[in-house]
Amino acid sequence: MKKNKSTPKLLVEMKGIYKAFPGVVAIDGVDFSLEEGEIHSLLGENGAGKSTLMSILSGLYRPDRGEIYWQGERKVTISSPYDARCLGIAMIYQHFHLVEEHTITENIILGSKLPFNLSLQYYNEEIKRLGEKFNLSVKPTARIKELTIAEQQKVEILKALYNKVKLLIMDEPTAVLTPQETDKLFSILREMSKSGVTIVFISHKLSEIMAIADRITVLRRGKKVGTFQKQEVTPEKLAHLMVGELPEKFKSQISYTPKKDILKVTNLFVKDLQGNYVLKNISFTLKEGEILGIAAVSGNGQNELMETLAGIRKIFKGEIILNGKRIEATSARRKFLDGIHYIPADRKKVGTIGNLDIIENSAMRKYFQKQWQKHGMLIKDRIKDYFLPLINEYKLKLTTFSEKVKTLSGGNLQKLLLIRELDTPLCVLLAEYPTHGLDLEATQRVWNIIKEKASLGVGVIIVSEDLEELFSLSHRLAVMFKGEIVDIIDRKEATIEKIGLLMAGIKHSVNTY
Amino acid sequence: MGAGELIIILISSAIRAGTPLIFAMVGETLTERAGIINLGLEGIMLMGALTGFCITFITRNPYLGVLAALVAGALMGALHGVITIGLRGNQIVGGLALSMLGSGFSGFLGKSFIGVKTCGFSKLTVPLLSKIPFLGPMFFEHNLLVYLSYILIIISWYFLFFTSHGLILRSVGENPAAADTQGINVILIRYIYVIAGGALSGLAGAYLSLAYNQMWIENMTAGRGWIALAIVIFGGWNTLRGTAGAYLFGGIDAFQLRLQAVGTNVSATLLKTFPYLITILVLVISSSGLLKSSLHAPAALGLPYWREEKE
Amino acid sequence: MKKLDYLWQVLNTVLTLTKRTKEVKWLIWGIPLFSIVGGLIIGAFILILTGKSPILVYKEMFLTSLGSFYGFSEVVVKFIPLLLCSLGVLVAFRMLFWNIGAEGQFYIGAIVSTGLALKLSHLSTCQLLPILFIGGFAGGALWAVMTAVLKAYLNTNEIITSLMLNYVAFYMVEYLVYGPWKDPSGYGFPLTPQIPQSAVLPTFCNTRIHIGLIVAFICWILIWYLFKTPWGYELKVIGYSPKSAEYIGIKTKRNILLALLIGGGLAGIAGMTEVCGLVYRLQHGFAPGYGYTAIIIAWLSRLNPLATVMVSFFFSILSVGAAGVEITFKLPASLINLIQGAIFLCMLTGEVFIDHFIVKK
Repeated sequence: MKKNKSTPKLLVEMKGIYKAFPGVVAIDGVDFSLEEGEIHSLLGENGAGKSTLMSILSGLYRPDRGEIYWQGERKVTISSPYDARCLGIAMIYQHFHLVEEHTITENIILGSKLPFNLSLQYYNEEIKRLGEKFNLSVKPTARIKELTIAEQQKVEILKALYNKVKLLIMDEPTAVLTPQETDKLFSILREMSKSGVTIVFISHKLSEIMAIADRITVLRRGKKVGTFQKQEVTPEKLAHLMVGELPEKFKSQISYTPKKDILKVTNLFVKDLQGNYVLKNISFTLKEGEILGIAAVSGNGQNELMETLAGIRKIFKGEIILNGKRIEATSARRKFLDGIHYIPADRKKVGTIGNLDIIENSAMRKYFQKQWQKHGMLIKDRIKDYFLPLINEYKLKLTTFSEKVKTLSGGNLQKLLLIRELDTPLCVLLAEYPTHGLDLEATQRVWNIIKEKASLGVGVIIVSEDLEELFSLSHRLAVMFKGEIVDIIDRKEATIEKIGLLMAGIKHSVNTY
Repeated sequence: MGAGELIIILISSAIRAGTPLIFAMVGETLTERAGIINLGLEGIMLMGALTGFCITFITRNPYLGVLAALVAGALMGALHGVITIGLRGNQIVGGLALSMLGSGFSGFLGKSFIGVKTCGFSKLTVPLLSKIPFLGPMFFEHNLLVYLSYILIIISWYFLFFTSHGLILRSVGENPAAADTQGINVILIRYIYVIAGGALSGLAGAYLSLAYNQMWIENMTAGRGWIALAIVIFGGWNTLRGTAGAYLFGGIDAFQLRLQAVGTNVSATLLKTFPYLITILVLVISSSGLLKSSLHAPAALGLPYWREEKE
Repeated sequence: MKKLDYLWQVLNTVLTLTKRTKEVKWLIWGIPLFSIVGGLIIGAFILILTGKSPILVYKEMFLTSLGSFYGFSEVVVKFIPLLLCSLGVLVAFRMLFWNIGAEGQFYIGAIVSTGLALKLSHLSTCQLLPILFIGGFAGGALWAVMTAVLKAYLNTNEIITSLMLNYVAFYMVEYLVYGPWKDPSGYGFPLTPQIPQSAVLPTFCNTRIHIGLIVAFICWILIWYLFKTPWGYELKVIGYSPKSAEYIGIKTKRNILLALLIGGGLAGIAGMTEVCGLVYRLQHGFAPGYGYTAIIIAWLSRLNPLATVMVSFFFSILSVGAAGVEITFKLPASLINLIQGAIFLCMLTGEVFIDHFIVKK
């Protein structure tokens, strides 16, 4: 099937789309169209409206205003995922929509026209054939929970292909992949595009977009800035369009003079409830003022390491020494008071409590201290007074102190978390995906805070899926794979390729991918 | 009485006593497989028992009574559905309220039916099968509803694991978002199975008042609704395994009745605590993870689902 | 299936539930109030169905409880165990720990205090009463802690466990009053001998209101205070977000045990006051379901101790009133259960609207 380059046929045309949620306008009058068979990238900051716009096509949301035209003249209403599926639209979300307990086949055939009596054998074979055809080999009887993230993504793609997808939308697909896996994904997408599938690739990573896209649409704050052919733009221009003004050139870390050890981890072993090792023989040292970045594919122990250092997980064997004192057996509360503070990955469900108000959330770490009590009862005003200076300094936007935290925006929520976790005494800051979901302004702010604290002598360990972020901030990079630290490299010696290989568990590469 | 005869009597009583638990357990398994937990079983069973009894008394037709019980159970299931699915209410507290309402309601309306006699379901011997030595009298000399329960066990097990509808049901309970993306109407599915579960619990109640006891007593379910919930867990949300649990309880129930009749040193009253204590034991074993295999609850059980609206 | 689906879509798109952006404060007490009214209305419908006039019945109910000094004192008498049980349920519910076992904890408290009273009849009032209070508390606390331990350490569903224990406790009472503790001079009735005079709770003036009222108020203030302490804060965090509790190092298991110790103990005291202040013995069917009513009260008061007092009082009024009309109007005793269940259901349908409202599409 050849693409007719002279008169590209329009697959989808979205006109005048407007979508608002309580309190925020997500899409403000956007026109968007897709040519058949192209790979189109949707670029924008976090919160720009990319996912929302595509979720309208996938049937998850319905636009408040606007029209959608399918394959030319036909006006359609996509009011549910079922409608989208009937049209041939499939969206793969950041958190995969797969049933973990079921097999690959059971996931893929769900929702198709199936006979009452189900004979999986037939479908297993069908899916095996489908996989081989598209170079996405899978073992159809495997359960989703046994697969790696990259394999699960393959299943999602197979699912779309099985449903005879015409338009495949992928929302930030490379966030969970190593650089090598990303390359493999891109080649699969190019194959699909050649066979006539239209692909939308939502991302905020400029370099990837330049690699994969035919055309690029930039969204900013719910409005379309423009649509461009790949040849018309450069990464710098795209960045400018995304943010609206020239972003600060982000300076890499200047090398610093090594100071004394602040945190020393030796032969750390941690087991989970089932008795399996989640961390094996972890050893490293963190110095005062050093930023150590941890790069790993999701699920390789980085989260468990953070939790162990924060005191949430019990260790099996090993030592953790903070400023010369052994602390591996102490509680989370004790570790906080000793100076190890933790910003968890899940801001909304772990780091903060949505249904409690701002004061109650701020109090989470030190609610037991006497200064905030009178006759044994917690006095909210005292807590408020304690945090007020920081709230003003970080410009935390709030209407009243008694409003529930769940009403706060992502950026504000992160501010709240920072205010609380940067409280004294602070020796080591553990930050997990600290800029995830934040727009560029908020991201810059978080980076500046981290750098500032490091310059004051705080040791920082940062886990992030964004290698560029890690490269900008870290002095050293540690790579984790299957619960172990594969290697720790100085920033000066690290390259994206090297780190990518290490993340996949390849310690000495024979050939570059 | 020979040992063989004793075993036949015991197992036969176990089956008779366990049948209401079968109905309720199958119903609740379906409901929970869809992701909804319905704690109102006790109240629904009572309403089913009363409704079945009333209608049978009025129409002199136990089949209509059973039908009425199914409808009553379905309605209560629907009510639970509206509160938990439509209004996204707390499933646990909602079920409790339903139980209380059901028991209060049935107690109130049933006052005038206490001590009344009506026709019911009597023993129906299956022609050929009951002649099988040993197994025949055990399984095939019961009333019609018991035979219905046999069919239900097999159909529900097959439905759940070997049909496409079963796959859909299980998927909705495990990951409603995934099912939604594949075009399945999650909310409709949940309503269907919470109503079906309610209907079956109503049937369980009707069995008590029309077949097992053939009368109406206030709170005659004596906690069976709660025991059924425990059996669902014990059965690992698998109706075949749950059957073992149901008959186990039937056995305990029948056993302590026998002991009472025979007259032992142990107080009859203390024996009555047995089923409840065993339920706790069974629950502890099931939940503690000591038993291997798939005792994994449907992942989305108890969580309301709606298409994510941004914050 | 597709037609059903389509009909469904139509229904669904006409009205949807949307989250509120601004809190509507008055609904927090308004909805419980409406629920009470709603429950009464449903009760009225049922009364009409059975051929009674709801207006007459309700009028008589409120007249009985509020129209005379005696009626009012009866309300207070019922209020004492209700408040205590409700507070007990409250403490557990704050952690989203579903303690349905208040009824059983009530029974065990009664059993322990009856047993102690009968065995220690030689002691004076000043010596005996504190022992009985502690005994009642301990009995209820122990009963509740069993459920807590099973949940905290063995992950066993607390709803079913606590419920099963209710039945066990009930049969334990039955066993005792029909068996070893049966009053030899009781004409074979299922009851224990009367407790000694030294075990009887002193009353106020000529009423049946006993000093359990003071104990109940003290407990109420204690609970109100506890909720405001760091410990109360911990309970809240455990309830709202167990993962956050783990994150900041709250000892969840220990808190569950402690909370249920207190909660069960409160229900146990309620059982003790019922025996020592009202019935003076253990007898068959002596507990009118306070443990279950307490759950409704706890939910309606939205786990706020201040509201709990008011709601408990109201339910006492209902309870006394219902007992009053039972004979005059020949109504079953379960009328009150019916109304309570209806109120509960109305509350559950109504409370959605505190955080959401319906939007026409």
